[in-house]
Amino acid sequence: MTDAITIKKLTYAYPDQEALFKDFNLSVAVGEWLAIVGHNGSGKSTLAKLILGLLDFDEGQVTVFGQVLSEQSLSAIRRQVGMVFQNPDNQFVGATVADDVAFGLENHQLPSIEMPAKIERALKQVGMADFADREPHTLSGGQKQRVAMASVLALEPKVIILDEATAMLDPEGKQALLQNLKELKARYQDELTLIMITHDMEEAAMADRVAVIDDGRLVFDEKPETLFLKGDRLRALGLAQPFAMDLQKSLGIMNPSYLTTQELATWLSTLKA
Amino acid sequence: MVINIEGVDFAYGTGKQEVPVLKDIQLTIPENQITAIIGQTGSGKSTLVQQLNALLKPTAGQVQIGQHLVTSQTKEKQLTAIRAEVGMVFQFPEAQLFAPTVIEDVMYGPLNFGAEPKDARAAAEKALTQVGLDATFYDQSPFNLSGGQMRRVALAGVLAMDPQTMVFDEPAAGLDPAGQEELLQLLKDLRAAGKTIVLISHQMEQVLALADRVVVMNDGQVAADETVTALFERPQSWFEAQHLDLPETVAFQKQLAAAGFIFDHLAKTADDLAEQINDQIDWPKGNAEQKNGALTSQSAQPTSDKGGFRHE
Repeated sequence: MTDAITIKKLTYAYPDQEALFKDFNLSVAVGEWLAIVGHNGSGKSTLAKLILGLLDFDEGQVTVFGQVLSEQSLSAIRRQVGMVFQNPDNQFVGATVADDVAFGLENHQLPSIEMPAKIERALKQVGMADFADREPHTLSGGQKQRVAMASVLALEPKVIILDEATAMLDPEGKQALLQNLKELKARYQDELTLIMITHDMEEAAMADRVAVIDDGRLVFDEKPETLFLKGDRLRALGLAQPFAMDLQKSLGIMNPSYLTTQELATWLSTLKA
Repeated sequence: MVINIEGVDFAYGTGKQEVPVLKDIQLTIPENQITAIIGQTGSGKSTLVQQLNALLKPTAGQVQIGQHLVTSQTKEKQLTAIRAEVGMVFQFPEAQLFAPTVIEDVMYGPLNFGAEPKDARAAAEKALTQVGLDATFYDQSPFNLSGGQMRRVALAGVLAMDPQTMVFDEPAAGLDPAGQEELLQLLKDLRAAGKTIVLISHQMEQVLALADRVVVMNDGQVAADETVTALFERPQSWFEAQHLDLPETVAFQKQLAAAGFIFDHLAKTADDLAEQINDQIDWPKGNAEQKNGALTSQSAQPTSDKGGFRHE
């Protein structure tokens, strides 16, 4: 099976700095939900920019759905890979929220007659339909980020990369966005590949697989269930583990069957004296 | 320096375009405490804190900031003195970095408020030390730093002005867990040094760990203004109505309480909660081995020497 994204022997250094990535390899299967986690400065956001051709790597190869990333293939690849950045303020161009979502569609030469329905649907998916006529600068940070997400969703990309996209959302907004992602994933199944760059471990726990990056090296690449047993290693990397695992440690136990607070609470209730 | 918000209304725009954001706010920000301001997106938190250093003037009512009184009629040039006393760190403050070097960026504030270059330099160095950036960073371009380092430079820019009150809007957003931990420590250190801290945060774990008082905003009004313990002792249904999350420790404690566990106090840490849980559990002998091949961790079962709480 073709991978959605294959990174082979990637080497990249910021100007006048030591190589951040050296012979870095990582692949993402079609339809997979991958979380890339690492502390600030670990290289995880740089990796996303390399995949999108926003930065040029020095050596190696990036392949997106079998297509090798190059100057020629760049625009074709960007049509398949949508990205939501951390800071929504850098992503706004439209005078209204709806205009902003329309901008991406216009860039892809979508017939204007199809636009209103697509815009409305995308805004609905992020709970911002009522804000279609608002000026983006009047929105709060969380609301802006949801509009940025809608702009990407409207283009129906095969891969969505979210770079700390929920960091600024309030709990409800964050849950709504994560719920959206789950629904989209359930609906599109293997037609949608998700790559979520984060250091929120509750978020990482939603993924099929978690890649932990530290100073450009792939330190762990495994399922959340096994990764979260490595609390001390994760802390040493500047990361955390889900609360259920923290509490287990305080209780003097360590059981991978109870990764979520719900599971742990249910189990503890059966042991109540 | 106490800040008193008295009967403040605030609206963006005028006439037909008017969007009311704050409605009849009565609030006192106590000195030398950490006051957290929480509330769902759009509840008016950011607008509220901009009243604290007169970045926005009230549409009606008044704000007493130390000796300064701000109303809708206050002239712009009267506000400079307030800005020196109340420092503001916005969301993603690193977006406002501009100088060619780190040290120049941090010196800009003190220079702008009239400090001598030598004093501005000393203030900048002290502030950079406070945020954990040593001399090797002084002459680097802030734009070549990592996100977390840029955040620290931006924080130092406000610290260097040494304001008595500091307002932070989501200061830890986007920082990794280790960076968040350092930031929490910095805010505690500032409180210990006598500063008044106002903190907007969506992260309830931070609020629980840091805040002395919490102000809950809902639809432009104050829905609660009380100690952090009093707030989180409210029933879960109240938080649901406010569209607020609970800190995980608190949520877990409430969940177990609903299942019949009895707790004598609100746990602020996982260790504290674990201790109260362990008192009420009959751990099966060799429990770890019996439970789906679980591994026992190194730490021993915590033993409680706390009086006052037993479920028997």
